[in-house]
Amino acid sequence: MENRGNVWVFAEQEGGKLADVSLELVSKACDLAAKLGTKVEAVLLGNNVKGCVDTLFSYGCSNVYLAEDERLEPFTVLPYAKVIMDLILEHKPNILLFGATMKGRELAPRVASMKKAGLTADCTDLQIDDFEDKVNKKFYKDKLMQIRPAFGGNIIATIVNSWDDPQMVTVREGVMKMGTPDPSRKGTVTKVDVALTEKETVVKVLERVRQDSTVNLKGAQIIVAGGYGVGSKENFKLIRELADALGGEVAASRAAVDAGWISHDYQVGQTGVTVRPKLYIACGISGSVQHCAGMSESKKIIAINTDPGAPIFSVAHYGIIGDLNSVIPMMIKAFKAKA
Amino acid sequence: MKYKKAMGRSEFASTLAADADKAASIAEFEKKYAEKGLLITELTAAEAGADVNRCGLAGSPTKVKQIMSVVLTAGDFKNVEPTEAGVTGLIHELITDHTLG
Repeated sequence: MENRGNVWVFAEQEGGKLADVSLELVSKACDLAAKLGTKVEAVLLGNNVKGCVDTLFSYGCSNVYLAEDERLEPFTVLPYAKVIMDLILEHKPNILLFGATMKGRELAPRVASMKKAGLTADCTDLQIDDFEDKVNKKFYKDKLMQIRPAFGGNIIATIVNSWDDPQMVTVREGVMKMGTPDPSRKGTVTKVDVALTEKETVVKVLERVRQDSTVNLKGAQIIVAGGYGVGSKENFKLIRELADALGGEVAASRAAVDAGWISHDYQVGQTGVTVRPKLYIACGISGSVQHCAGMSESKKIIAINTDPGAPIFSVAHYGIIGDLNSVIPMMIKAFKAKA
Repeated sequence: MKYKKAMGRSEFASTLAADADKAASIAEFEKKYAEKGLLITELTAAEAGADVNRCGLAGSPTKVKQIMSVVLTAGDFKNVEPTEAGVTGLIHELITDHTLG
């Protein structure tokens, strides 16, 4: 019951630029493949996208399945699913990783459904371990442990795929750490013949309207986040002032977003953005599991909260037990004096 | 609230005594509840066209290997006093180690 196929990553691109999450997944795939003794391969679909190949090699891919066809640009799910399904049937990968992006969330379930394989969405960690299926009395060696929060984040579940199908998962952007590219790494390109019928090309994209996000929390080095403890929409100006003074970005917990004090674009956590800045200042955030899941990998975390028992202190490196209304002005004053 | 009293065949059958004439009782129940619009239709896997081998726990392609409850409580951290001196010291430390500035 062992699948010794390789570890695959769906290399998502837009206009010939690879999505960061795909490179994060290639980096993680390298760890998994090293434990399995297999290789990392990417599946790259689009039109005129071979410029992405060297980037994939530099992050650790040893082979790229390259499917170029004008019908694969822009992205529509039916042709993509068909091409990937054909590749799965031909090459039998062991693991297939998708980014939990708009495209990945649409594509992965469709491929899983076509293959009748399992799919675990929004994983926060991936490991290799053995699994004994006591119900069906089977033992599986070196299965992919698909770890994700469940039941509102109060439980961490480890899920395995007990069939001999590709083990498929989606992972949200920012959850896995991107490795360091090595331009000297080289690999092979396997060109894929794109065999599509009218059945798969029934959808035509007539017009595309893009709205790029104006918030870049993922790339921010310093983040000042406010929670329900900030107290009001007006009081969020304190958070902005501190962020401006430190040269950082403003973020928020879900409680602050739900209260209508700031838009969802700024939300950090399980249902928002996952960040790992060098400094994260949590102001008036209690620290639910869901919020911590999105920021606990920050290099340094400062928590400001009046409640000494707040869970945010479990992930904090520095804790200030006090009122943010007095502490934040002190921080701004101290930084301006020292900088 | 009307549908609070709705019931399916299997639920009704479970209420019958062991020595009851089940077939007759179920037929009577179905007729009575259908007239009132309170009969919940039940379909078997075969009637729904489902592959029985893929139903239930054994049919799931994924299994839960382990679950862990997550309880976050305040842990070890460097306590910074909420005073000018405490906050200034923290900012100085962050500037010194190049986290800030």
